[in-house]
Amino acid sequence: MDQTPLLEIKNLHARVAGHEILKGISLTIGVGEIHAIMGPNGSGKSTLSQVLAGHPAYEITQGEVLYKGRNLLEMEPEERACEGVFLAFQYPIEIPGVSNSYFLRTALNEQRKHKGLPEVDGAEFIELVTKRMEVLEMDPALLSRSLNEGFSGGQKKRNEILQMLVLEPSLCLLDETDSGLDIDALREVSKGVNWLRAPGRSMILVTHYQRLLDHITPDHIHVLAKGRIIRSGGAELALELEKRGYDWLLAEAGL
Amino acid sequence: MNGEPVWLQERRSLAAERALDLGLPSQKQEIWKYTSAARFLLDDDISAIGPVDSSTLSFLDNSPESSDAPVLELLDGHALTDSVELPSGAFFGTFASALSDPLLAAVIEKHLATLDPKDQALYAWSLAHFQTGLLLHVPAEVQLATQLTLIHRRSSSASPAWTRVLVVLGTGAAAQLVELHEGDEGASHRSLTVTEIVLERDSSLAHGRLGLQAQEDISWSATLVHQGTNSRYAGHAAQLGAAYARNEFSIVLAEPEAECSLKGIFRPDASRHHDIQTMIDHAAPNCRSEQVVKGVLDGSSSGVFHGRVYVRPGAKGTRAFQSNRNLLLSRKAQVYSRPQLEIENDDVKASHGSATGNLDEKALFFLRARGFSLASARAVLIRAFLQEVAESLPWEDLRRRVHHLLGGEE
Repeated sequence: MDQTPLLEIKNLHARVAGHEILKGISLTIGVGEIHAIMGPNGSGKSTLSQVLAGHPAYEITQGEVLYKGRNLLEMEPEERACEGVFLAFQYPIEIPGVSNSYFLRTALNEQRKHKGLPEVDGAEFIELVTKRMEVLEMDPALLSRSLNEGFSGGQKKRNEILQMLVLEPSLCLLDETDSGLDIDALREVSKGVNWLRAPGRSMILVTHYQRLLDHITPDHIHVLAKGRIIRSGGAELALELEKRGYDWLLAEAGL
Repeated sequence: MNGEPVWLQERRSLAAERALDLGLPSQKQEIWKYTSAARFLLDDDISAIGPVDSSTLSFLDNSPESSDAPVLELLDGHALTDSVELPSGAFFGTFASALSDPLLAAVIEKHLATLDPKDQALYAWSLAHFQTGLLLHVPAEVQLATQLTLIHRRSSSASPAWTRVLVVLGTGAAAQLVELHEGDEGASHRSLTVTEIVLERDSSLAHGRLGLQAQEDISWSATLVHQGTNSRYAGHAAQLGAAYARNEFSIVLAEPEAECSLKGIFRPDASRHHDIQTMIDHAAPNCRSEQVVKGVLDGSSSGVFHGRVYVRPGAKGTRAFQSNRNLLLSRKAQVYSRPQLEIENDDVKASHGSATGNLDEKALFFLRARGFSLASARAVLIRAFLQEVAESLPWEDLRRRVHHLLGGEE
């Protein structure tokens, strides 16, 4: 069966504040596939996920990105979100004065409105979100607190995954979701991600370390360095990177 | 003779003389640096008012009914209701009606205009020319559970409305008073209001002042508070309407253990100008004051916060906290923030802070990345910024109204 890929990135160049960070990324993500993007610090991994989510600070200088066959780069961040692109932030934002539940319910209803679906009311929302919180073993009290305010690092990351579980996106971008998590938090976050795995849902896991991939097995692994993909392989590539580090790949690529 | 009592006529005459002597404050005066008093009082008004004539100024000419709803309404400076029925000897009504009762007349005579700063012309003008006076008097040990509302409403664009409000709470008394300033759209109204508040020992007042004037209105309102031992004043001010508005708060913590708090919002847009001036005078030991004022400015609007705290030499054990934070939504909007602490003894805990910034780009992107439109993301962040102050309103109906006016859902 000929199926349009969910995401096609073609020769993508992007810069921020005059510095070119992405220097020709090409990547195709099929429907239902899980890709891991690994690489040393400063390789452009986080930039790639921010660019895909539509962060206005980045300027696209070349290339194109098709999402469900449409030009993703022309879409506003909120339109991307409503069309199913979800970025789990590396550094989730604290917003004092906005409750976690108001935030999440409004986000859900904005997206439902976009899809022409009726809004969920307060009771339906609480039922839904409570079930999702159980998957992540999250304390329901966090719902009534201000968004991420005073949350621990692990609570913030779990809260990102909670949003993902409630919004049920088509493309999940996880930007260093494993960073700063202890073993237990990593296991619960991974459980949430695996819970969401589905034939129609694709994921890009951006990570520095192998350890997330112990819990979530990707279909493909790409190594990003200096703004380019220098190696792609299967799940076994992660093990090799764990043993040998990135230097040998950089040397092979002449970087 | 159905005119005003002689003592009032005399006080008005003296005030008129003083007003003429003082002239309007010039913008060289520091407290008038960014706001022009001439916008509130025009030369034409001054010449039109002329010498004081108590027969033309008499407020004893109408005889409205009393009402059982705890609301008094002034239309273009004239009372539509004479007084409100209150229990336990408490009184809320016009001076006209109060003066027929010797006890209440004595209260007015004792307190009226005693708190006015004598070097400020607008106060002198206000005493000389107020059309209507309102008295809220709560006798000792009476605690009113009902929220009282005073509506200052403008509909015709004729002359300015001059209003004086006098609040006197006896020992151990308690009350809640909300003043709403409203105006019908389509005209520009000028209003000048002075609210004097005398809080005796152990008394407590929650006082709301909501500026919901029409878009073109010009409004000056001043709140003067004098606090006795262990009294409480909680002021809540939100300036949401009016083209040109100034709110002055001057609070004297005159006796030990008194506490005051002042929470304020101003939110000008287009080319509006909103000014908040505060003066907290710590004149006695062990008093506390807290001020939290937040401004949100859009368009080419301008805002002023000038907050002064003065701690006198004898005011040991003072606690004074002041914070002003402002959010500029456009590059053309401007805010002048001037916190000023003057402390004349060592035994004081005081802090003040001022910060002005823009909407947090990271937070905006975060919300948009979850599906919020740019407009709703901005509205959510603005409300979140003001929430600390808006949610502190102790009245549910007002809280909802302000929430709605700030763009929130019902």
